[in-house]
Formats: sequence, structure tokens, C-alpha cells
Amino acid sequence: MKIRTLNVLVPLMLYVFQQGCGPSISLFNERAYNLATSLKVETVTLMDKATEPFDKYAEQVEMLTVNLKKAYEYAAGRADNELSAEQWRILIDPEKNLAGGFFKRWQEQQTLNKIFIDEARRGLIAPAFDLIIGLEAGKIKPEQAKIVGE
Amino acid sequence: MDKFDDFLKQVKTGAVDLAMKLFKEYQDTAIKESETFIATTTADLERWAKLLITGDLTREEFEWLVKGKKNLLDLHALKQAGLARVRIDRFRNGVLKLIVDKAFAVFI
Repeated sequence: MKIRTLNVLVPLMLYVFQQGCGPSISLFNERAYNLATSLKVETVTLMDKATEPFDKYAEQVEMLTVNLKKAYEYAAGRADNELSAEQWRILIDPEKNLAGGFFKRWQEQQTLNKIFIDEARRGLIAPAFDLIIGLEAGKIKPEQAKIVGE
Repeated sequence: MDKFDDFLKQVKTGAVDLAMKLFKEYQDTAIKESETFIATTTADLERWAKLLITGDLTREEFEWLVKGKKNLLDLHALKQAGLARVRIDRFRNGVLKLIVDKAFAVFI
């Protein structure tokens, strides 16, 4: 191989390999996807109980809240996954008006208006989970990330 | 033609084609998803306003839901930002594979 070829090809390959070795976002994670889909079902199902006194479901809400926090911590612990982690953080934040805020509201008011519950589920909470699920589903699958000879 | 010139030409052409394909796909998807998000949000806000007028929602409930839409918009923006990063990674991986494949084809 000519010297000119090596002098250009080798640095080019090294540059591209260096650029190509670090992803800008995490790969698809099946556990994260399954967590999001199952927690969506659990959350919207429990929301429907909010026409009843909170105290009756306090333990279930506590368990779900813990599981939602676990999902956030799992997202936050993965490398290059800060965007998904931020999605979870917003979703579970009791000071915002998504899942965390909904359960806080239920606790404060003890019962909630059915129409409000339906609209919160349909217009906010379910779509919020869909956005989290959608980002995870859109990530590169691990088998697709292999380049050559891996 | 010098083999290296041939290699560079093939890589350049392939990279441009890949970039156009990937980023057009992303642009089309991003526009479509954002249009859907806007349409859905508009429909929800209209419905909530009607429920407020009929008394099925209190003012405070209406305001809570509307503020929730702002939070949802943040999640939408995060999703789009993430998918943009996915496209960049796909392009980078594609170019790397292109270089290796063309190098083998031309030089070996």
C-alpha cells in the first residue's frame, strides 16, 4: 500500500473509530421498556380509584410511587441516558402535574372528580408514559449497534 | 485512477447519501410527531374549556390540567432531542461501516 494512502487512511480510520466509539445516547434497553409499559398500566389503573378515599389506597399508591422512583433511578443510572432520566423525573415529580402531582393531589383532596381523573389520565398521564416508551423504543437496538466483525 | 482516490470518492458519495436519507427521515418524523402533539393538545384544551363552562371541571382543575400540558410538552421535547441523537449515532455508525466496507472492497 502506498505511503500516501497509509498517511491519510490510518488517521482517518483512527478519527472515525474514536468518534464512533462513544454513543450520544444509550442503546435500547428491554428492561427499561418493560418497566415503562407495565408502570403505565399500573398507574392509569390506580388513577381510576381516585374517586374513592385516598386512605383506602394509600399503601398501593406508596408501592407504585416507590416503583416509579425505581424506574427513574434505573434510567438515571444508565450511561448516556440523561434525556430518558429527565422524562421520568418530570413524570414522578409531585410538584408538577403528571403522575407524581396527581397522586399528591389525591392525597390532599382525599377524593377526586371522575371527569378530572379521566381527563388527567387521557390527556396527561397516559401520553406522558407514551413519550417515555416512545423514546426508549426509538433507540438503537444492541444488535444493530454492531459495526463489523463484532 | 489511484485506489485511494476511488476509495475517498465512494466513501464521500455513500456518506452524503446516508446523511440525506437519515436526516430526512428524522425531519419528516419530527414534524409529523410535533404536528400530532399540537393537534392533540389543542383538542384537549378545547374539551377542557367546554367542561369548565359546563361546570364539569372547576377552574382550579382546569388550570391544573393546563399546567400539566406544559409538563407534557417538556417530555415531548426530550423525546425529540433523544431521537435526534439516535439519528446522529445511526449516521456515525453508518459512516464507520461504510469506510470499513469500502476499504476492504477497494484495497483488498
